[in-house]
Amino acid sequence: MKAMAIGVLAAIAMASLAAPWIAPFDPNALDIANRLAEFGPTHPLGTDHLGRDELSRLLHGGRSTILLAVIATAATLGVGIVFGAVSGYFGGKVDHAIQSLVLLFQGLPRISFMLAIAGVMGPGPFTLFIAVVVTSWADFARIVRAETLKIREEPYIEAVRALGASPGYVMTFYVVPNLIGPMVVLFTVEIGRMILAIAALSFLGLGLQPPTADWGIMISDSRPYFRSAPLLMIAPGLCIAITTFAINLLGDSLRDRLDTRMDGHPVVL
Amino acid sequence: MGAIAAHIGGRLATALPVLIGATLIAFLLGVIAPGDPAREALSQGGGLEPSIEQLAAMREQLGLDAPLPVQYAAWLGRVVQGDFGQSYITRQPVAEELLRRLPVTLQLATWAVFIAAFFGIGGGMVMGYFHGGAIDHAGRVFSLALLSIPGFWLAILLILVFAEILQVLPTSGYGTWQQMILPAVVLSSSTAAMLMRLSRAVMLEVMSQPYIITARAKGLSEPVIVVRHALRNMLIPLVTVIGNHAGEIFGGAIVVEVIFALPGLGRLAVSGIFQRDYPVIQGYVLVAAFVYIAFNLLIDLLYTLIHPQIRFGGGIK
Repeated sequence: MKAMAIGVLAAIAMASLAAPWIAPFDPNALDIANRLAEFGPTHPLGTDHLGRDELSRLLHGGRSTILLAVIATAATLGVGIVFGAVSGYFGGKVDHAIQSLVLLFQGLPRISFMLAIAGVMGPGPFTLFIAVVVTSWADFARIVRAETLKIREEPYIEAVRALGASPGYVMTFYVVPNLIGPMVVLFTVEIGRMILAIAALSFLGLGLQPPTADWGIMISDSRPYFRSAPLLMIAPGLCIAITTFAINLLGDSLRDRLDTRMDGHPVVL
Repeated sequence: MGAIAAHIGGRLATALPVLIGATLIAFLLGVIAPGDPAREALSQGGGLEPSIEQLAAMREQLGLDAPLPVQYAAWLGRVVQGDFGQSYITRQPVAEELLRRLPVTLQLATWAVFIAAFFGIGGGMVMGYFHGGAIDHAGRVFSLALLSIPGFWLAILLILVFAEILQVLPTSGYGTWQQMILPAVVLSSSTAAMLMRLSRAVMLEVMSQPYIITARAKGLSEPVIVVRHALRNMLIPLVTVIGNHAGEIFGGAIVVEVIFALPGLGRLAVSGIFQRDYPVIQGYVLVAAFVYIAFNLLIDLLYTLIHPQIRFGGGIK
């Protein structure tokens, strides 16, 4: 199962990276005369409502969402590591202050705030990125703090401190490297949710913007034609589902192996 | 009883700062929003471009020249009295519009929570009871697939199948219970999937406990063991998780409301965003936060009722 998941993800990554070279057409090239074309030799999967080649758009469609999901998850993780590690390592007043913030952000409905923050700053990928980081960092910080509390008690930390290392040095070279294992699991689990959230917000018009060839936008574009041309709607959805399914499979097996418990807030979209 | 009161009191004390934090974030959203509320207030009814003097007077009148903490206090005072401001577009009070739409979203979310709890816990128990078998295996793949499918896509697929091909359910709209089925199912899908996975794990744990062996040794029938002994003990961990999800379901209703054309809060928020109607977005955030916090408190109350350790005066870890 795990090997299959990695294989599928590798194939998706390769196809997305190589899209500009392997796609038969420019994903944004219009051909109104050939709109909503059926399968054929020129357009293997037909064309959309503006005559754009469906296969080329599908190949390009994962690039923006997956890239944005990777960057947003990495940034969220970064913020979570800084707050969580500082909170767990230093304890005391710093810990108390950060934990109050974590409690606040965990006590708020994530999607509602994500939507409102992205909406007020104006729809687009950058505002979506900010909205995602602001609303998601608290779960990460809480888990990193718990891990840091465990690491802090390890004898090697005591040893380095006895040698006179500064807190910054201990954090950078001893605490953070030991967080990598659980963080890899967390990253994998979170990125699946992130892809779904970004796709949903792009579908609503609040994330990536048309005419970007993107799976979420393609589903939204094809909605008026879903009776006559259901494939235009089904194909990009399948691409998202397969990507997320493979990531979730991988996340499950990693989680079992590292035995890290994390019941973060779900993204219900 | 004292223990319960103390527990609830403790929870209220932690909920209050979160509520205040939520109002602070909602207020700051209004501050970072582009546009000038004074200009918005003056351009009411269209007409002439307001002069600089008029703008300055209106800024003074609205208190926009005051430092932010003072503005926040004034704004919070109005919010507490139920004054959420006026829509830039309709010129109607935002609070009235929110109140009109709240029942739709609450109804949708309630349906979704019950569907998710019923199928999620039921499915997970069956999987756990027959663990290792074909049902268990199929259920695990099904639940993971359900977690991986974009909800908005599932919604369109279900419309295609049930409304267009089979023609058994309406495509969209609000008013009848038939119109609630598809939206509620879609909204419940990821929570149901998550509950299936969790319930399966909890079921496995519970079924290996000594009290189940005792129940079997007493000669109780399997249905009685599963419902009276296993399910009861499973509820404690599951209720907390359902509580966490219930608030997220309320937020996730946005997408479903847009696709199924339900006149709920989420659709109001989305149209507010596209019309740059910032008071509406602020109001939506406030209501969403309030419902989320209230829901979690309600779940806590339920938790104290089903958790014997709290009921009888012990603490919980």
